[in-house]
Amino acid sequence: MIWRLAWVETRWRFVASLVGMLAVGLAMLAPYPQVVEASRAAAQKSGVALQVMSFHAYAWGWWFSTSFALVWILCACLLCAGGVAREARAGTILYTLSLPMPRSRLLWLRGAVLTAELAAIALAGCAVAPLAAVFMGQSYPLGEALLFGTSVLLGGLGLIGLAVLISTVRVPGWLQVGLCVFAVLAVSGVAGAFVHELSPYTPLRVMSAWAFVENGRLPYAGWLASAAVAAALLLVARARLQRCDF
Amino acid sequence: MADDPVISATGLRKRFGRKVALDGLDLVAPRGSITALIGPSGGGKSTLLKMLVGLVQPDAGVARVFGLDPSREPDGTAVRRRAAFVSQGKAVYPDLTVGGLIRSTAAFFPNWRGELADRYLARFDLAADASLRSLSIGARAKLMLLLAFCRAPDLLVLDEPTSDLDAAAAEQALQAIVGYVAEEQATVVLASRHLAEAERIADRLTIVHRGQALLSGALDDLQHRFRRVSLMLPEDAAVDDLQGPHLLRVRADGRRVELAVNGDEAEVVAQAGRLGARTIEVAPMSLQEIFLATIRAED
Repeated sequence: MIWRLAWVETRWRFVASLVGMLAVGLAMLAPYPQVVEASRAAAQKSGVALQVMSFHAYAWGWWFSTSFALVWILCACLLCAGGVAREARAGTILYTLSLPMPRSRLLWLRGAVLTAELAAIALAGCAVAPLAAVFMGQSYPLGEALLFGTSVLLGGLGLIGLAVLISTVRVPGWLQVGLCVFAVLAVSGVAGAFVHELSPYTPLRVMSAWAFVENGRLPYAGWLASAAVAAALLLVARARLQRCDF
Repeated sequence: MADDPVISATGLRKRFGRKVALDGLDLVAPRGSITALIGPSGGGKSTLLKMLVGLVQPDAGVARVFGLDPSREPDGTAVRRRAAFVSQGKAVYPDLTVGGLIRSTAAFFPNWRGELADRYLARFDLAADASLRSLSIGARAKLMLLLAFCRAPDLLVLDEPTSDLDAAAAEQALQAIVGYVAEEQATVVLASRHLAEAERIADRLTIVHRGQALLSGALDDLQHRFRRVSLMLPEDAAVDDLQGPHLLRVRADGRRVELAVNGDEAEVVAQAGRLGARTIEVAPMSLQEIFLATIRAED
C-alpha cells in the first residue's frame, strides 16, 4: 500500500520531471545538424579545412558533461517536495501512521520509490542521445549512454538521501524544493569554487563521470562517497521521523 | 492477564512549544469498556488518543496499551495491529477510490473482515467505486469507521467519530459502534464534545480539561456519587461556612444556595442544618451538571 501511496503522491511531479528531462535533452541535442551545417559554411567561407565535431563529442559537450546531471538534480529537488511533510499538511499522515508498521518502513519505502523514479528519469535522460542520434543519421553507443545514466544515479545517491530527509521537514512544498536546491548549491559551491583542489571531485563531476571521459576510469570513490552520504542522511531522516509528533 | 486494563496511562505530560497539552493525565480503560473522554476543545483529548497509538510521544509518564508502550518500536506496531484509530480530521487520500482504500488497508491485516466491509458499505450507503475526493466529510467519517471495524481490532480509538455527521448519520454511527463492541467484545475509547452521545453509549467517563483528567470513573458510579443540594438559608447565614472535601461548587442567589457535592453529602447537609437552613433538597445530578460543575470548579 505504501508503495502505491508514494507513487500516487509523486506521480505528477515524476511525469513532469520525466517530460522535462526528455525535452531539455532533445533541445540540447537537436541543433547538432545546424551546428554541422554552420561549421561547413564557415569552413567554405574562410577556406579553412573542415573539421566537423562528431555527434559523440557534441553529446558530451552539450548534454552529458553538465546539463544532464543538472536537470536530474532539479528533478530530484522537485520530487523531494512531498512525502511525510506533504501528508502531514494534508492530514492523511494520521491514517498512514496508524497502520501497523514502523515509521522507518514508511521512510525506506518512500526512499525506494523516489530512487526508482529518479533511476527512470536518469535512464530517459541518457537514452536521449542514442535515440536522437538515430533520427539524425548518426550513432551513439548505448552502453556509454547507460554508463552516464548510471553515474548520474550513483553519484546522485547523496541527493536522494537529502531529498528523503527534506521530505520529513514539515515546511511548505516550495520551501522543501528551495532547501534542496540551496543544499546542492552550497555543497557544489564550497567544493568547486572555494576549494579548488576539490574541483575534480565535485558531485557534478562525479555524476557526469568526467574521470571516465578524461582517463577512462570510473568514479568508484565518488559513487561510494555519495552512497555513504545517502546512508547517513537516511539515518538522520529516520531519527527525525521517529521523534516527530503528528 | 485477562483482568488487566487494556489502557493504563499514568502521569502523561506533553508540551507543544509553550502550550501544555497534557499535564500529568491518568487514564484506565478496562477490557470491554466504552470510555468517553469529554471536555472542551483544546483540552488534550486528541493528544491523549494519538499518544495511545504512538502518533505522539509523551514528554513524561507512561501509556500502556495491551501492556505495551506504543511510543516505542516494536511495541507501537504491535499496538496498532490490535487497535484502530479514527482521527478527528478523517483525511483520506484524494486520488484513491473507496474500494482502493479498503483494499490497500486490508493488505496490512491478515484477519481483515471482508464481509464487514460489504455490510458497512451497504449500511453507510458508500459506493466502492466512488472517488475519495468526491466524498463529503460525513461520508469520510463513515468510511473511517468501516475501515476501523474491518481491522477486527480489540481496541477502537475514536476521536470525535460523529462530529461531522448529521443527527441521523450520527445515530447510525453510534449504533454501529455499539453493535461492533457487543459482537466483538472490543474496548472503545472515544473523545466527544457531545455529552448526550457519551451518556448513550459509554459506561465510563473521563472529563479532560487543560491536560488533566479532572474526573474519571464508571458512569453509574459518577451519577450515584454526585448530588445537587439546594438550600434556603436565613439571611444572616454565612455561606462561606459551607466547606468540606466533597463540596465541589457553591452557587448563591440571595438566600437560595445550590451546592454540587462529589461524594457523601451528609457532612454538607449537617453544616447546612447548623446554619439554620429552612429547606434542604438533595437530588442526583445529570451528566451535564456534573460536567459543568467539574469544569467550573477547576476554572
